[in-house]
Amino acid sequence: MIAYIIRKVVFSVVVLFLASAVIFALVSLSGDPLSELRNNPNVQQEDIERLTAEYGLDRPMPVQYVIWLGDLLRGDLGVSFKQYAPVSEIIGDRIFPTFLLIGTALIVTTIIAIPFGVYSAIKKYSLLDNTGTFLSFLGFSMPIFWLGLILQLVFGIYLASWAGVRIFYVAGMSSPGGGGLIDLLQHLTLPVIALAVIEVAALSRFQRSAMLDVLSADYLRTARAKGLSQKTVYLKHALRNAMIPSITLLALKVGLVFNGAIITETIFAWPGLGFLLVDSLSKGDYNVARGILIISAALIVFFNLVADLAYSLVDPRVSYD
Amino acid sequence: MVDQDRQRTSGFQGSEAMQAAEAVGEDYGKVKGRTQREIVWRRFKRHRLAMISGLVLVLLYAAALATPWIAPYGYADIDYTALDQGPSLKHPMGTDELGRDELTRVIYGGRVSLLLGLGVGVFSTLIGAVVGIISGYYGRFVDTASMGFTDFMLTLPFLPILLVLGSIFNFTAVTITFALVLLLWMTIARLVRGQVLSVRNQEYVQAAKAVGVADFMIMFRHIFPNVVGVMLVQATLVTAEAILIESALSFLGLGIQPPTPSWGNLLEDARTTMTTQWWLTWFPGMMIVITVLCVNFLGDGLRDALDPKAVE
Repeated sequence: MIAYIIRKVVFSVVVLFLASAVIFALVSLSGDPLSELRNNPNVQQEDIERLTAEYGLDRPMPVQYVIWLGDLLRGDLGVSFKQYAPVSEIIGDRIFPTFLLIGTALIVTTIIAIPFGVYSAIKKYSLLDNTGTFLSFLGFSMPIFWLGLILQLVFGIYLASWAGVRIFYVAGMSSPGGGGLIDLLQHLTLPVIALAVIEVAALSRFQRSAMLDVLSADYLRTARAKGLSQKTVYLKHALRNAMIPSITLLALKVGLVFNGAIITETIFAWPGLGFLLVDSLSKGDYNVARGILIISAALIVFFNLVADLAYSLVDPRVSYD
Repeated sequence: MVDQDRQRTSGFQGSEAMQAAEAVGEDYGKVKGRTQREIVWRRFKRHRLAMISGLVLVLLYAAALATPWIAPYGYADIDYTALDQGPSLKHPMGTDELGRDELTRVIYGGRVSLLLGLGVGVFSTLIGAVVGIISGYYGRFVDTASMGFTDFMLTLPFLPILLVLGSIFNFTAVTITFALVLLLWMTIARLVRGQVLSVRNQEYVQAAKAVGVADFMIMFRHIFPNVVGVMLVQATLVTAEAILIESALSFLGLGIQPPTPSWGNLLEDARTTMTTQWWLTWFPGMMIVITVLCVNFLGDGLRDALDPKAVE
């Protein structure tokens, strides 16, 4: 068991180092961070040379990588080439909005998907189950950005003009000057729906098949045979085991949902890491892009590890060979 | 055998019961077992949504191949007399701010999305299958190394990486296909490997090894047929995923670049005029949903049809 944990942890660390090299190299290849200054006739050549030396851009890429990695390990993500501020400060402001968005979406997903999946498994092939199957196919066949646009159209614009008042906002996290919980919810609702629809579709199907697997197990027949009520059989005996795969999947999702968050944040101008990533890539703000990429890689690796370990702790049947 | 029976019973030929028995007897030798292919096809036909989806996809792909002949206009044809028009008989999906026919642009965009999806589906499935079969068959060091690499690739944040690749290469349809193949083969490799592990110690593989069949032939003749099912189902899933990712990339402006239309960049164009020109947002998006939905249903039908545990 301990050997298994150590092996997983070592693998995660190695992966993260390799990922950091890939990320650094790819971002370096994507262009020259000083091109804007070079094209500006008001900037002196010597200033450009001074900046090149200051940022270490005159050194070979592997050397730059080692310096960047050394700084990273000390918690320093470097300086933004465009905003002339420390990257950690720029990114720091954006972490909370992203976590708020992803966290709320995952909570909503769990609350809807797990009971629905369990119910569809118990009432297999009922009208509700078949509708659920069709809707979830529709859910994960929908591009998240198009769903976002349609939500903006329907709830932000059609509904607003029909009702005469703005119920949901389609951009940003708070109204200028405004604040408070109600205002936040008005901004948060649509992006959360956009993110959650696909996750609900996937998780509810997953929960359904996990529950179906458990329902055909022998120990459930035993439980019924000794005269327990259906409710006890389903909720106490079946659900516990059927939850294990979903918990693992949820842990994996925390890292992966960031993909969806990039698109959702861009559409709803949500001031989070995803929006900042797209923005910094298009502006050529490379240290910011690197910082966000390494954070998202770290999140994915970390939650993969958590999922592996959680699974082995919760499920005694997992072997650690 | 049948002939002998007939001779022996020839004295009773007059009775009706015997004639009936004879008819059955004649059929007896002719009833033939269904081949694997027939069984799968029979099961697949029963999944009505998958059948309909398959048909829709055949039509869509036919349209993608025949685009220049069936598109009513050219995708860059500008018509200043028909700017920003809603759907009409002349322009069933309306026109954009330059008077370009939206139906034509959706058909051309579909050509890019559909062919790219198919390309990614086929190639990443092939790569995944090769990695999975080799890894599972040889085991030991080969397995540890290739699955370690697969796991590493799986942990890369793939959408951010694609965005970076997009800003390096200025994607075209061909380079996006390459990039997506490189980022989507891993799940297939893992599933195929699992399947290979469960058959590689079966007696028929051992027997083939014992009589000295070359490794390559064993993998191809004895192992490969076992993983075809997984491959087909995964190919549909990857195709669907590729179409969705390409549209998202193009929507973010880092995928297929205008003037070549793709469903993603049509939607990016539509964004600024979304509130007034609703048709530019609804039609390309609905085409993506319909296509991906059909691919997913097709995959579901294949999964049911190829499931070895299914009962007739």
